Amino acid sequence: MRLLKPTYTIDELVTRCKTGERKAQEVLYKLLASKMLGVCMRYAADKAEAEDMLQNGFVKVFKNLNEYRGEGAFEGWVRRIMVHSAIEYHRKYHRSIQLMDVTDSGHEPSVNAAAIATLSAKDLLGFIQTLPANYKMVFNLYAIEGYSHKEIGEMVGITEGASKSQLSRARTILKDMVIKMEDKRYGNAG
Amino acid sequence: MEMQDKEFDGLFTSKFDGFEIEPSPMVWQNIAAELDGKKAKRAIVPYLSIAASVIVLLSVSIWFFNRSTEKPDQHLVKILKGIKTGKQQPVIKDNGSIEPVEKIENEGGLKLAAVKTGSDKRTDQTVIAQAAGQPQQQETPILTPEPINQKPEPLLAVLPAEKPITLQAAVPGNDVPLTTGSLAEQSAAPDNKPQEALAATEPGKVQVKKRAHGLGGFINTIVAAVDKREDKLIEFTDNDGDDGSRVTAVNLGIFKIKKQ
Repeated sequence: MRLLKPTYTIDELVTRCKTGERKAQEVLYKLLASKMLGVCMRYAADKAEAEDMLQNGFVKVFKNLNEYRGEGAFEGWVRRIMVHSAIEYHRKYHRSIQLMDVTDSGHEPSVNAAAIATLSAKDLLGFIQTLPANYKMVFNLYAIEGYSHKEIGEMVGITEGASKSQLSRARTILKDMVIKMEDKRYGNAG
Repeated sequence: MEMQDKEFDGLFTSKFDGFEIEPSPMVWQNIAAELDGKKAKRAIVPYLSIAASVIVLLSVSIWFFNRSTEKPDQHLVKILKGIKTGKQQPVIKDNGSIEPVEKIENEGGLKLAAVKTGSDKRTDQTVIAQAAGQPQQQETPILTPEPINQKPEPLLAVLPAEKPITLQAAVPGNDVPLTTGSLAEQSAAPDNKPQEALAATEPGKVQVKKRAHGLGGFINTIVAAVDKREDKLIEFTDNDGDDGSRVTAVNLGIFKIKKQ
């Protein structure tokens, strides 16, 4: 007698999803959706935008499932699709915000690691979300996803140099935000 | 202690490790709908609406062209008939009655007629000598440009003296002295004036209400009949002093231009 809900391995689910079984697709979606929304949130300005990216990403996952050959983790494959979905979304809706010329002000704020350690993922997410679209994209791809500037250049459609300068500018803005948050906290405490 | 960029990035990476947010249930519904092919249906809608707009635009323009080409022709025929009978251009008086036009000869040897349209809403003070704008080809007796050897002088029209009224010739730009050159230009002007002339020549049928002036005004009237929006599909200048053919506003829904 089986009282427990049947559990499937991801591979089993993927095989069933390949036949277009809706129930299996739903189970697979529910297994990965919140993690993938966590990824999309970093590329979006708000949750609605992130959910659009998630939706487009999952439609692609199910439509291109046959391209997944089982090499490497399935989750990693889905995540890459989400990242591409986010880039595509930006291309579509944030094309006008191309900040190509980044002048280095020479201003380099200093933050200590302890300050960031006290901040939650939600705080950091708030910082990243307020970054200009291109900076946000490059920072996410380089610092968190681990792509090289060359790869980012190809993915986003900018030069390697632009990717480097935008990353540097994104870091400066983020550091400023961390410092401001710190000051606010001390201000509130004192 | 200042940290390296790598360390800074690493702190973010570790913070986001295992970061999850629950999506709203709508997302799965949308994905399922999209996988069912509802997106394909959605994609047809823009094409349908484009097709519909093209049909609407075409039918409106066909209707519009039929109207704007037929009417002026009929008008022209009537005008020419009127002229052949040898009738003089009448003058519309304040009380709505019509009198034969007065010929006025000025020192420059130019003859022109003054038409007072006192009942017209806009011209309580301003009297416009419409005849000055009449094309030569109509053989109207009222305007015969003759060689001017003297210096050109502004034209003045004489009126029945009710109250002192400033007279202005309907030459483009009221202050411009009338020269043979400008008359020649007017003679070559598009056939928008005959429509006005007709309205004035029909005996006993003096229109007191505001009429469409020139081709521009005529088009405005038609467009207004079809397009009930505040900003019409297309608007032309609508006054006697102008040539009536300048576009002042265009409204294609998303694309709007309006000249004040």
